[in-house]
Amino acid sequence: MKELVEISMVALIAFASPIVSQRVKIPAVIIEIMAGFLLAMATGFFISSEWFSFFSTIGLIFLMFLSGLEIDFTLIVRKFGRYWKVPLYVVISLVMSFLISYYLNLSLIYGVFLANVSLGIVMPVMKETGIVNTEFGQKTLLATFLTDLITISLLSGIAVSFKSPESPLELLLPVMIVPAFIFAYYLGRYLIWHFPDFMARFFDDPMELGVRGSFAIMIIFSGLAYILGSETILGAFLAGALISTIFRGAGKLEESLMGVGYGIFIPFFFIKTGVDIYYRIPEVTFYLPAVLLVAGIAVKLLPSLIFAADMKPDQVFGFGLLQSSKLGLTLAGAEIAREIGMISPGEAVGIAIWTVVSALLFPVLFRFVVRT
Amino acid sequence: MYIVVGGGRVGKRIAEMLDDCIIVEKDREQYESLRNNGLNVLFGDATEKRVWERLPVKGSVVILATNNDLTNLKIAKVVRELEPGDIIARIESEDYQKQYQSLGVRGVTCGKSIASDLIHELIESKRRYFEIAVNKNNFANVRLSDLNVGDDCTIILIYRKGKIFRPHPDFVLEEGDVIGIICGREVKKTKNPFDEILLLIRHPENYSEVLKEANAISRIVDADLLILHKHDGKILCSFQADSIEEMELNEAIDILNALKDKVDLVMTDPPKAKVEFDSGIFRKFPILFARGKIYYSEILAIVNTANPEEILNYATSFANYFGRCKIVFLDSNQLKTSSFVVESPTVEIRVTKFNPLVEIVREVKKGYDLLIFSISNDIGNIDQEFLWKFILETRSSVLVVR
Repeated sequence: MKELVEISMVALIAFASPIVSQRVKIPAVIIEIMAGFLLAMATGFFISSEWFSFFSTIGLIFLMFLSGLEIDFTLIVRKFGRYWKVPLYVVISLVMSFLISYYLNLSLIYGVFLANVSLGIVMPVMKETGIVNTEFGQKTLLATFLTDLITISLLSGIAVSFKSPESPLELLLPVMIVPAFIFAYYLGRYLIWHFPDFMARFFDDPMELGVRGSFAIMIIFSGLAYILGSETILGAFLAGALISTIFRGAGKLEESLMGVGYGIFIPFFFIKTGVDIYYRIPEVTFYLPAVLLVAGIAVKLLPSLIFAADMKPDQVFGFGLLQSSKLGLTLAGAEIAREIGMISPGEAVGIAIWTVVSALLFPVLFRFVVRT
Repeated sequence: MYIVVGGGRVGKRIAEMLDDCIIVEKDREQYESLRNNGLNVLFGDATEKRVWERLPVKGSVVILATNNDLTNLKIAKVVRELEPGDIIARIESEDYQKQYQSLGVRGVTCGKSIASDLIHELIESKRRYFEIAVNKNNFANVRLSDLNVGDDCTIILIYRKGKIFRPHPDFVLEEGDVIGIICGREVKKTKNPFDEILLLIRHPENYSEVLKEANAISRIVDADLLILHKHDGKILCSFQADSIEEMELNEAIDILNALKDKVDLVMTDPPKAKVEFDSGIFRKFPILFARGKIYYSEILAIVNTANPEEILNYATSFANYFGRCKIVFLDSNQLKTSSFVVESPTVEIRVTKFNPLVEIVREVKKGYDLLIFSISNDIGNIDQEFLWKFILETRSSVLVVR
């Protein structure tokens, strides 16, 4: 009976969060985290459910898969040289993030958290303000894609080296996933050229061949990453990036997969994050989220001054603010770092609180700056 | 009145195309030849003022068509004092551009159809719009497909009883209709984009195939064909090539660089490996990689650029010559900026639905005679690797436009 109540509640939250999100103009993900928090507070039994943890893990893997899928490699290739200041911005921001982590005596992985940005926040805000296709919008997207790509790679690298610092072979083994990625990429391109009718079925098939194929690729890569001693989320991320790279953007397929991911699995992860926040409130020092908030703005806002010659002052400011917003990847990273013992459960919750605040605060500030 | 100085190939061609024109020629033999051809010619040296005193220079358009810039400049100085309406010169070397400008001479850089360029400068320097009223003596009951408005003009609308109708080949004109016609360079380009085709042969083994296609296409589009090839270690330009030697890519690029704006289309054999589209050569001319086709029954234009006018011009033009062309837009937003493209019996328009890369590859694999795409490739998700596959690994001829 208890499990039936749990399942029903989670299903209800997953269903209702987008509706509430539209009403209150807060990302659905934040609604799910808050709902998880309230649910734990009201019931007090969510933490013990095994099935809940299992689905939460699947949700995390799916979240990373979709993060890879969202990265538009065509845009990166086309705009990289033209908007050369954007990669420079990303590098400066990254260096600053690691320096600040070092000076604050924080674990190395905080550099990744500080540098990270949420495409899930950036994209809807840009669509809403109608700036996606402007030069400013394209620069913002390029910065977001590049940052995502680099931070997820760093996250995996740091996590792997933390787990096996004394074994060079174990350290080297996870790298083998890169040749697998390259092989799969060329295989996909070969199939597009030689069997275009079959590959078209990835997008246009009544049996949803694309969704099935994508699931298969996600499972294979996650499994491979696990076997090679890497993080399953890196495998999932690479699987998403693989599909996006092979097809140069997943388009309609991305929509279907987003529906499955954000409609079914991913809410489990975010609801569980809310539940975790509730249970670990006693372990949290609110000093950490506050410091991260300030440092997070600094590492994004200061480097954006390199655009002072190309953008209006409000755009420079808005660019830095929007790049400061965190969400899925940061939460996922915090979960991994907690699992492998790089940070304490209390720190993980502190990071989650900072993430929630940044996801709420920066889009609002950005809209205000852009409007003015 | 038009006064053409120099009765060589260019001057003669200009004079043949203009009414009320007189040629000034100083070579006795040439003078006789032009006269025998029924042209109005004055024998004399145009650098001498007394020759001009015999001509009604005031208000006339003087065209300096000699192949010597110094001579042209000398003549311009003399003529300028006689208050001509306009002076237009064929410029051999751009080094003299400033001197021409200081004399108030409009220049046309030396090139290919210099004659037609000069004519364009004269006739088509501005886009013009005309209206023609249809009455029972003029065009009433005439089908639009039977109405020839010339290469430079096109009918864009018909007014009938307060309503505007789109032109259609089967539209029959009625008394009281007003036809709206637009003329200009762009129209000419759409109707007949190629006056001069340069055939560049790099690999002797491909010569016969490529020549076959070049001959066939130049005949159909009514263009002059010039062949650039290597013979005895020298690069030759001729109307026919008896023996061909292998030409290095760099040699070909050097020559083509020097020919900017002098040819409308470069036809060549596909390279053995890909060349970077960024190499400036693709930005100077449309380049057609020929596969030995003698007719383009099936044409596919891939609109992979945010500035699709050039692709659409070529596509509609080829559709006019060869009967039909499929134009595929990679993004539905492109249609908003290309509203002048109208689906017609010769042009089929499509927009990709789910993934341009996969859909276009599927389309290309159907086996078209001619593919057209842009090197800018800034719309859609087809990367250069696949564009090169279209050139190197299909049997289609491929037109790469700027």
